[in-house]
Amino acid sequence: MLNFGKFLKMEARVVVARDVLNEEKAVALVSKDFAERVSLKNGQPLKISRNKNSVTFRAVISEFAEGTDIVIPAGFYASQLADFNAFKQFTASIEVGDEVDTVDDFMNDR
Amino acid sequence: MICTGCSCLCDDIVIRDGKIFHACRKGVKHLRAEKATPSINSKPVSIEEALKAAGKIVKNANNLVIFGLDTIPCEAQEKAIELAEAKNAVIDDCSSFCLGDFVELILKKKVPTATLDEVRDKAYVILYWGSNPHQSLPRHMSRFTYYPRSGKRQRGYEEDRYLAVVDVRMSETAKLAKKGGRFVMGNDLDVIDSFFKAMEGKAGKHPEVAAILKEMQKADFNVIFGGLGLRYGLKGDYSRFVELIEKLNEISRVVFIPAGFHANMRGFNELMFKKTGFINAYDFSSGERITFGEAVKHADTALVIGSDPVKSLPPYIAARLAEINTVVVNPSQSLTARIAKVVIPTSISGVGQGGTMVRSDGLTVELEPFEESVSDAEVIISLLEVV
Ligand code: SF4
Repeated sequence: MLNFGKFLKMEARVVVARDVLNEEKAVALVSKDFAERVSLKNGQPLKISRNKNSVTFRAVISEFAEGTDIVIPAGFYASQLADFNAFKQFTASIEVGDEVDTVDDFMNDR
Repeated sequence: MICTGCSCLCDDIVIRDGKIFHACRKGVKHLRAEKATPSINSKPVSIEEALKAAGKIVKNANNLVIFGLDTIPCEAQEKAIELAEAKNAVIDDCSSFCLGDFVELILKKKVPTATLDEVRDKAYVILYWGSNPHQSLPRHMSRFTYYPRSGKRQRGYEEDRYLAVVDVRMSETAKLAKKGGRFVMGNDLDVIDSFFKAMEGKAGKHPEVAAILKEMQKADFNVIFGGLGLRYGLKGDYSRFVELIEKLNEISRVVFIPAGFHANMRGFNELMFKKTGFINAYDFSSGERITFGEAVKHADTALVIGSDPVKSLPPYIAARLAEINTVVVNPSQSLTARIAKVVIPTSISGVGQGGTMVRSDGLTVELEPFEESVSDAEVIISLLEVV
């Protein structure tokens, strides 16, 4: 078992899915298997990076991520990571994050 | 009234004393969304001033792209297409990265289809493929597919429906199928291959599809709903999937309906198909296909109607929209409105503006607005008048 608190970066399979309850939140559903593999705890900030962009989500261990590593809700945060070639699924690198991102963190830069 | 929160276009919504009855959570959110305010460069102005400023921007545009349109009535979409033609502009909607390709298969008669009412009355096997209606079309299963007792299916989900789901992960709908039907977790191309193998009596990577085939053979009407997961899983080549549907129809009747998109995406696809032969992503200056994602790179002006691309598309699009002249026409506050030069609020389709929309199965639905407010068609007509 890897110690998530200590590891630097690793790869994860990420699926983007509609989620009415969480669509405006930076919440990442994490499968139990994956969470165990990297010793990730419920509520821990999880930084997902892809194509020079990163978003820090709050990890929630969920049965609805079973079959993949991570499921993120379609919406603003997913859009920062996905692109037209990988709109629904992609591989991204993950590491422990600091603070969970908000939309304003991104919009105020524009 | 009709809810325009998604392509189910539920027609049983009641609003009484400020309370909304029968709508799902998604519908309530759509109907209660915070209203946009007219603005120029983020400063509040009157709607007349916003319209005047938008008219000037659109008139002076040398390279205009019009985007969105899936949440507005057909009558307003028609005007937007007229405006695109008048300006030799590019016009596109969300279907170019959503389920437009599936609507195109239907409009070109490559796959057999049916209405949701036929599904409600006759369908036995209900297969959701790459789609999780629990989240994307919250009342799809209760109004049209799994739960209703209707027509030939009076015993509802207990005995008269068989739910199957193909997905890459355990969704809420998949969990339900796992209990009372069949859930196949896997890659779409592998699952298609397994269906072909099962029809030859062989076992593929997912031998469990044989159970779905067996159930299909028991009935004379079955349906496959294709969602975004399937669309992207097929990587742009639909031939094998179309072939599968043909082959399935040799053993039983199996129809296909796209599942899960904006209220009037199909209306836009149908209008564009009739006008140009393309269902979306069309450049009136060259007569060629170009998506919003490409066109925005070269555009000097964007007219975004009834959509929030800053929320739903890759960040380079937001950056580009902030650089060029962006006009937003939308009922509610949006992230795109935050970076737009001009914002013009309109009313929610079905609430303050009427007209028609086309449901995901192709049925035309007449909206039943109960108040009069600024409509998208009025705004687009005022822009047409100045160009
Ligand atoms: S299912 Fe769709 S149309 Fe029906 S109430 Fe919910 S959001 Fe509105």
